[in-house]
Amino acid sequence: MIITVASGKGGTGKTIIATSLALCLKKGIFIDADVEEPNAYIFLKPEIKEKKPVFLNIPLFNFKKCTSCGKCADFCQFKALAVIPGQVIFFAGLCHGCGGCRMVCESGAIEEGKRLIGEVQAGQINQLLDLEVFPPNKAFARHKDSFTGQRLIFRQGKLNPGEALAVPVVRAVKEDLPPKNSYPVVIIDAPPGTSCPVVEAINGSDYCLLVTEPTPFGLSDLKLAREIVKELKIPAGVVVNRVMAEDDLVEIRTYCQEENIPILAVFPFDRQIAYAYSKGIPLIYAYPEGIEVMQAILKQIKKEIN
Amino acid sequence: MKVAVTAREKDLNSAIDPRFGRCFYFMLVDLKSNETEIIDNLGEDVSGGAGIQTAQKLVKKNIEAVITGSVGPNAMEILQAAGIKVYQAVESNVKENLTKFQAGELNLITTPNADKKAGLKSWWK
Repeated sequence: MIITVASGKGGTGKTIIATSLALCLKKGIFIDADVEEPNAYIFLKPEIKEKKPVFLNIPLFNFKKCTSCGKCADFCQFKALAVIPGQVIFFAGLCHGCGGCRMVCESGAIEEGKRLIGEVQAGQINQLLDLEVFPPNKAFARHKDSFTGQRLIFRQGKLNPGEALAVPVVRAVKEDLPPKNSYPVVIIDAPPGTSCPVVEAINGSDYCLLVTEPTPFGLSDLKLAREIVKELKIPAGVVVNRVMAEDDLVEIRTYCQEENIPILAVFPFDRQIAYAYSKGIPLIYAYPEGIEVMQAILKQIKKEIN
Repeated sequence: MKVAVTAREKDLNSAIDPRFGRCFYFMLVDLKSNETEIIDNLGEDVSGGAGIQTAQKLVKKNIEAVITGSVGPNAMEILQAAGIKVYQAVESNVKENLTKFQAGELNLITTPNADKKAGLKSWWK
């Protein structure tokens, strides 16, 4: 079961929800697909054990064979190539690595090259109940069983600074996951917005959790994010974060009813949570009631997709 | 000699378009025969690489010089590699710019005088 946490609007609380959701799993994989600025590691404190470079395929030109016919430049949808007699000018920053230029070249003058654009890091999350950092409380004592024997794998994609193309790194961070039977649940923290990297993060998920906040911006971007999951035919549910009063929810509720998507949980606008966030402490430690909420969300999602 | 002028409209009395990559039209003028040709550039419909695409068009048309307002770094790289000279237009119509060009009164530009994506900003104004 792959659950992607997305939002449309940035800063609604995607990461704090996604990380706590992962922390409530017995066995699972957490993937930070916000490759332009991965920050879930701050909450999950993983031990990174593996690093794998991510390359983009780029064209390499053999000018002995090139006839300056210009077919490659005509084909390139991203205007990464310009052909002038005897020369091809390549704008690496615009190339999406589709390889189309190589396919349309009739003189075999284009070979496949590689350009490093980022990295995938993988490791384990293993210091969850560090009682010195997170003093035990009654809520945790009650859930002790759910946390013993916990096994969580951590992954994150990192796009190199200055690079424009996040999609290949998002794709790479989702590739070659450990077998489903040993890690049945995958939580993906998507980038904010509604552009290509978000689509790539959500694509292939079984469920999409849309985190929003009770502001006009939150609702507006929720609608945009909803359009993406509709297009991708992925079932979705909503989590509303930072709610101060029941009144806050009126418009979001109306929208969700119209769209026939459930509101799976509501989190309060809470000083404790904000404080924990500022210290890199996961939500459920500051707000232990959240454990039950997260477990309920997971249960509900399971029910909805079966 | 074949010269291109970036133009807002399709005739010699049209105001020049200060943007290179995102200009509306090109007036191509053969200074020997006085023949003109109009190219639709539709530079505003391109999301990225407008300058590159526009420069590529001029390379294909065997232009020797272009008169325009501002050229970004990518377009300039192509124009220079192709040996197309870039001249700074004056704020006027196409005709006057051609006259001034022939009189040698327009300045040659050899370095980009606009940032990447500057053509988008000028459209906002």
